[in-house]
Amino acid sequence: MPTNGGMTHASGSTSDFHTSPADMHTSSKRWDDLSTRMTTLAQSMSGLDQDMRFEIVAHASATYQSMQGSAQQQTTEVSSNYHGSADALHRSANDYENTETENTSTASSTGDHK
Amino acid sequence: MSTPVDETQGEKPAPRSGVAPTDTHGGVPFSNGKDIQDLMDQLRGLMDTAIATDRAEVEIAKSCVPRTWYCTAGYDAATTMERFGGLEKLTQDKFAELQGLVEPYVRTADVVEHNMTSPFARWKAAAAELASIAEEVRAMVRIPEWSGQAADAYAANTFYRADQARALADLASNAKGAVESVCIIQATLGSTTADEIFGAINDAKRNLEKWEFHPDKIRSKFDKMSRNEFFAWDFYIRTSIVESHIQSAIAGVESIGHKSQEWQKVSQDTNEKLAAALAEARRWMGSRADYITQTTVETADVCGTGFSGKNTHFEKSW
Repeated sequence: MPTNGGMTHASGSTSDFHTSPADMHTSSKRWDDLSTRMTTLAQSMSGLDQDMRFEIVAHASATYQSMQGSAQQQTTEVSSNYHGSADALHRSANDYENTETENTSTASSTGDHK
Repeated sequence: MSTPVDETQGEKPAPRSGVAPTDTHGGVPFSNGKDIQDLMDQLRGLMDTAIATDRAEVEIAKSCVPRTWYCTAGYDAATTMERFGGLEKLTQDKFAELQGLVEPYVRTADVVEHNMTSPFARWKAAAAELASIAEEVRAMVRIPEWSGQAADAYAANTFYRADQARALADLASNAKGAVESVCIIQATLGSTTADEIFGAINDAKRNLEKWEFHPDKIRSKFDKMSRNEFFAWDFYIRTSIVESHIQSAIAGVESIGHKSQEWQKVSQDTNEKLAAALAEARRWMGSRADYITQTTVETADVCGTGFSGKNTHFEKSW
């Protein structure tokens, strides 16, 4: 199992971990897909406040408007969060790959000096 | 639906051409705006026929009045005709008043199908998609072969992200519930309004049955009448009957909108539950706590929607 031997992460922590960068890229792609779905959802919520017609049953009208605005805004924010997760994983995977490359290079140059 | 309405008693209900495709009660039939307006047209037809018949009866009576009666004290032809005209106007004015009262209910009943096929369906689809995303995010908590502090932090963050989707799914589901609840109230209002007018039409028709108009028979009757019998004759009875039933319908439709009616409370409850669900979602979204919710916007509990017979949840106020 490969190890990066203590890479620094976006969170700033340094720890030993094991993974395959390919799996991290796969997960990053899934986060991106989910973010896109969230964006589509937020767009589908657009205009839902005007679409609902209360007529004389209007007690919940104002709350419904707030709820629609809030749901759309929060869905947009969550989409952005998911995109952030995708980016962080993508960066980590790249860092891992770079570290692996460096480790391999160091190992070969050490071997050359022997 | 807490109290089912007995459909076996009472008259046939007003037409229910609308169907609200609800999740909680299946397809709920209700009287839509066209049903209500068709009934208003029937009532107007009844009124116009009653006025025309009463006018015809008066014309026959006038042709039977001996010339000598015109000079008799107690008979003032001009004032009598003015009074009859006043009765016609009163009835027509009451019909116009009823039409004005009914219009908001026509508009309300007319939006049910749109609300169910558009906002309700859209929130339902959004809630399902968000629930599906929440499940997918939960399945991403572990990345194969990744362990250590960073993997643990990632897992915790992923749980939180899954909860975000779940919280949004609940919010969308509550919006869907609120829309359905409002639609069921709207449908109930449409049906109840139609029932009021339908009831007035049936009652008026029943009362008019004994006042069928046969020109030859009435002419023969007037020809044989004494002066006293003639002056005691109840002219414009048909118009008066229709007028009294229009008045009943006015009282009935006015009572539907009364603040004490159950639908007003159910509508307020829907608002309060939606506000609580919204406040909870906003509070949780601003924190990193575990997501727990117990707020659900349930479907309105206004019985009688789509059922025949009188809706026991609407109290008469007169």
